Amino acid sequence: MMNKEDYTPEELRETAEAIRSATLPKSITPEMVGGTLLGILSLLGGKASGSGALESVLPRLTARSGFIKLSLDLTKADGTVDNESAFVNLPAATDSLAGLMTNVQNKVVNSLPPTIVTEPYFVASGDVVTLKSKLHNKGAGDSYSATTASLGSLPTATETQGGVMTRAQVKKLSLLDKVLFELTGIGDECSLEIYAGWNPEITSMSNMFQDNKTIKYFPKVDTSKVTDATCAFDKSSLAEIAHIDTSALTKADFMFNRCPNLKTIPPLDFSNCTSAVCVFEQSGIEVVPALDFSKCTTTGWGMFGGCRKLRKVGRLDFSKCARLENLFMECSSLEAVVPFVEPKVAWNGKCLFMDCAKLPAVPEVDLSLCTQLQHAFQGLVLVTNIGVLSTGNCTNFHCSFRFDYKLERLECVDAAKVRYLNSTFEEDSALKYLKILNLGTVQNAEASNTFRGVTSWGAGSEENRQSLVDSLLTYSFDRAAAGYAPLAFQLEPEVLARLTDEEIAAITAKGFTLTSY
Amino acid sequence: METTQYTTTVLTAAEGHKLTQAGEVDILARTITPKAFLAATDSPDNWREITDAEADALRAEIEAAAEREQSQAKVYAEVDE
Repeated sequence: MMNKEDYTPEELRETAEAIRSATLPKSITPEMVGGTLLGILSLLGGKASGSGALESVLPRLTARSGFIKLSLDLTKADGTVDNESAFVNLPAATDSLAGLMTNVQNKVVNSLPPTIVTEPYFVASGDVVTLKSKLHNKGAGDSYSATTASLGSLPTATETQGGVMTRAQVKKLSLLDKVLFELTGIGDECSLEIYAGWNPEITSMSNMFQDNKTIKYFPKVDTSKVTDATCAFDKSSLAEIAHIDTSALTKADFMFNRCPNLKTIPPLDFSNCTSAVCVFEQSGIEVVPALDFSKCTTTGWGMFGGCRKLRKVGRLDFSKCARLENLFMECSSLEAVVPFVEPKVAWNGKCLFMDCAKLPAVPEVDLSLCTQLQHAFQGLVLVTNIGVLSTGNCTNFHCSFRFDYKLERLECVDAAKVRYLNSTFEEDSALKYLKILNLGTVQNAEASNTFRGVTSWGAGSEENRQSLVDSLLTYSFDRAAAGYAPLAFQLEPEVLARLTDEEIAAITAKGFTLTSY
Repeated sequence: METTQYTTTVLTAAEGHKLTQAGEVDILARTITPKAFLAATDSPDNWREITDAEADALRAEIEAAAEREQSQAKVYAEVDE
């Protein structure tokens, strides 16, 4: 098992250097590899660029004994997909090169630790660009012994062997860079070292790269046995993670917590994850694909809390998750939330969307099993309307809708089980229509500053005024009849003035004391 | 014809004064008001008069407590090192 203590980049770096110096002088030169692959691209010619407007290009590299194949899936703007492919047949004398590429196929493509990694790069000078390629052979140096002479028999490869290319060729070859990066996720020395030193038997990545300020890319290594990724990249400089196998993962707490450079992740498999606290909290994440946390039975607490650059989130499945506090707290760039699969158990939604200052509307969330909503919709400064919220099981409305300065209409909330009504609508100065059901039902309810600053309640129309009367009188609980202690509501003077003497008298008769600011 | 009669007790603070709860309450639950329409189950004994200066001091306390509470609302997790 590899953990943070076992992982020593310095040692791996030395190993990598030793391997490189041992293998590069051997008969396969970097130029051979680069030249051969360039030959394949040359065979493809201008097919890709001549195929019209392209939406995306998916390259695939395949090697078998005797030939190398590069195929491209070309997705066009109209949605149709073309495939282009080219082969280079390798003479028998170059079987060892084919063997090398087979290793790429079998061990890189299939995400197993490879022994060979090619790393092409370019040096530009005027209109001539020289192709170079590093060849990292890790531990199997004696397996490949092709000679320059035998490679020289490759007709297409020899044309460019030696590495002189035009800019047009470089453009094509840049595709190859993408191929290798997509296959391996290796983008720099650090990721190469991770790749080289990875043990596929690892079951825990807990704290492995915590506070690591060197890591940028996490390559496509075999993580199929990893069950614990707690704090795996916590506070690290990770910027990109390959689509690794996370299907065995059960713990992802703080996995990408406070990774400022991480902008997105591939659709990682969290379907067996049972605990996912603060997975992305305060990270630089901007776009999140759909993620399955359907087996997360404990908590998704703080998952995106403080992700101030988060703009887009795919559908999230929290069907068994009892704690979703701070889920999107302070996601101040978030402009929309795809409705997530709500818990089918009692759950905590404290600070759920707190201070999502760019959300234009409250996302459609079924709150019927939610028991805590303190601060949940606080600071939604662009929201003007909120529909009916099924809050019948909620016990806490503390500051729930506070500082929603533009909120004009809240269709209906149910306070049947709410004990804490403190500052619930504080400073919602535009709120004209507000209907609350079952106010005062809980015997020891608290209601300080519930309506402080709610100056417009009941203004503008009789319908708005009726919502005021309905909330305090028609649909409120009769505390006096139940023998409960009085509950005081403090209203802005203009709101109190919208109630008739008879209405005030009837409200007080139900056990509510009314005061003004 | 149905006739309903309500009796409402209204407390109004004297000039230069405000009303507040007579008993000890949490600072954030303290009401400072010029006028109170008492619930049928409430009593004038539950309220007392304070001067405007006392009211201003209490308001300052309330604001400070509210700010403290607000700052505590946004709590980010700290990983146990």
